[in-house]
Amino acid sequence: MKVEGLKKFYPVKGTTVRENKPFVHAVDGVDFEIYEGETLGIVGESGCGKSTIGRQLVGLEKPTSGHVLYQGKSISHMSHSRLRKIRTELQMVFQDSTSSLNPRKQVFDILAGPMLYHKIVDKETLDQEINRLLELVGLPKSMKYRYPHEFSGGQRQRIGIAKALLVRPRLVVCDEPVSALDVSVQAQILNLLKQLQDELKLTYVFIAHGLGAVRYVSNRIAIMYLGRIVEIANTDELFENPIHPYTQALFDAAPLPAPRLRGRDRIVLKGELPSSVNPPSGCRFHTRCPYALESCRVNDPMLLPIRPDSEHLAACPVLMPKETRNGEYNG
Amino acid sequence: MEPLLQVNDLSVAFVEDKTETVVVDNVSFSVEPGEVLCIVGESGCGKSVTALSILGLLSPNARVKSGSIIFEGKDLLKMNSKELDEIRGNEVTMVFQDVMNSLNPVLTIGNQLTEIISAHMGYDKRKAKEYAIEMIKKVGLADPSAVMKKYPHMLSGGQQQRIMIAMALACEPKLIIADEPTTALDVTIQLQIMKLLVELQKEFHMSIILITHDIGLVAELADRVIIMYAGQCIEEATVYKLFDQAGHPYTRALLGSVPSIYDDPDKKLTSIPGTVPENYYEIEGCRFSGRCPYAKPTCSKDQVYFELEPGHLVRCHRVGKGEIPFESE
Repeated sequence: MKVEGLKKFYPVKGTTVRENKPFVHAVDGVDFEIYEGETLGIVGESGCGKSTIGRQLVGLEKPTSGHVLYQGKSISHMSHSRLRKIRTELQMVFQDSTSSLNPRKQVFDILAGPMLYHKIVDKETLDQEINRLLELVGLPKSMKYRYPHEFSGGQRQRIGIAKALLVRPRLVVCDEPVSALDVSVQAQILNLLKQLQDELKLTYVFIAHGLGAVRYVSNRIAIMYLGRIVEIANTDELFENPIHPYTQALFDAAPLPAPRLRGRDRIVLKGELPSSVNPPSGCRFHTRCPYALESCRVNDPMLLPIRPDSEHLAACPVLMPKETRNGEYNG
Repeated sequence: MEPLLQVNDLSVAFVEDKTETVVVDNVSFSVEPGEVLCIVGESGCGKSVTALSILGLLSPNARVKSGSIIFEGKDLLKMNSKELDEIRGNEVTMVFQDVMNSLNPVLTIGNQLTEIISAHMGYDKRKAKEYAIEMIKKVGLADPSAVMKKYPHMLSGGQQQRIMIAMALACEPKLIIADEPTTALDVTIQLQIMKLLVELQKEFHMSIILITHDIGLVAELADRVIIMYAGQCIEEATVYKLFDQAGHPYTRALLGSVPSIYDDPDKKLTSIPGTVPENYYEIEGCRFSGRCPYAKPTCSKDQVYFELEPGHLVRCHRVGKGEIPFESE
């Protein structure tokens, strides 16, 4: 069924400043890689730039500076016709399934349009292919002549997933795919996404603010704060050993479904998220950080491995393990 | 102790083109003084309608079919709007999810707060202003006199929600009904707001009805929990009982469907197949039976809401007969 699958996803690198009249530093100097077959979770509060990154990854927006490299080629400065070809491999699932589906078209037409346009199937096999897709996302094929409003939120999100999958992508960016759904339905969709990943060998970028959901689907997680990645690590490593104080505070803030743990020690952040139009100097988190030192106001910390050769990177010189701190920051 | 609020057999229907849709079906519960009661359920289960009917804020096409809502010995449903106004905003107040639509965008925060305070407490202008500043301080906003002069759009979502709480608390009510107060906020701000609510609740010795779908919040805040499904209460228990030994299959599935950051990463989430049936008010017997893994033909008979143990109510006859064993802890 699958056509290719051997090539690797090359580094996705970017130092991007989005253009707006007064500059909103939505994403401000971010580097990371996405490996083939993995799920990279991106977590952060609203306005941290996580959705902006998502749109850059699939080429919906051009960065102000920096590059998004896909298989070694920069899609950020690609011509339209070439981008169109590559877009079939990079797809997106949106949060709001109501506004991303055309309300005046039947599901059949919503799904058929892109397939014919990209010449993925011919007219004879079209019907068969749509049945297959609907089955894949767990919808009865009898539903293909219905309109989007006739579906529940969970079913609409399934159509949104089918729509992303119909061009046989390799990378799917899921931007808050479950946050608009009821909890019992969220679990259905998360399980479906996991199952599809196994079957179709997909690579996911999973953007969300709910830590529980991100942990459930991701191999690696990047934590963002005000346009920067403050920490990135394998999921287990990150949850066992969070370094950055913002990561720690974020974990502490997540309510636990365990009433007996109510009295636990936790960091409660003071104050509000500063504006990204005029981000704080030095470390962006220093205005709310319980560990902030004088130097944090001035020095902009870099994202560095917490140990030599570690895949766990963090941008906080204060809480880094001692040996790293001495090596990297003294002098 | 006398309960502060007692809701008995409340049924609410929406009327459209002469057809009635019963969205809240024989709901009964009570709120004790000083307790936090959580009403939990998915969208459309009737939890918000239940809350709105307590304050007489239902939309014109909704009709209370039966029941009584006794607050301190008086039936709120029998009151006219003038009598209700004595209680609304004074003794019982509400915090809504959608702050943007609950604050007036063309009036300053100071204007809105002092208006409430002078209307309900009879203070003159100067005293109302002093009190308003004190309330803003209490909800943890810096520089209260500057906040007084601001318009709602100049504040962040978390700050707006703090103002809403200040308004709800201004008259020292006995009961606050909070309908998803933090759903629109980021987690770190949510934690701040919830901590604030709990601190103030203790300080003023109020009761809170918290309406939410967030199981995590319930675990953090509730004393007692009511689970609603398709217009009915299906389980009621203390928060510890509920998380240790949930009875109803829906409650169990709901608790199992929440991804937690402390779970075993290889654990598969319980998902409940299907969705809430649309015409649930026409279903005879258990309304969850269509999605229930334990359903039997006997489930199509009307389910009784019975006491499993003192204080633990369940609407599932199979749990009562011991046919669905509890998972051993």
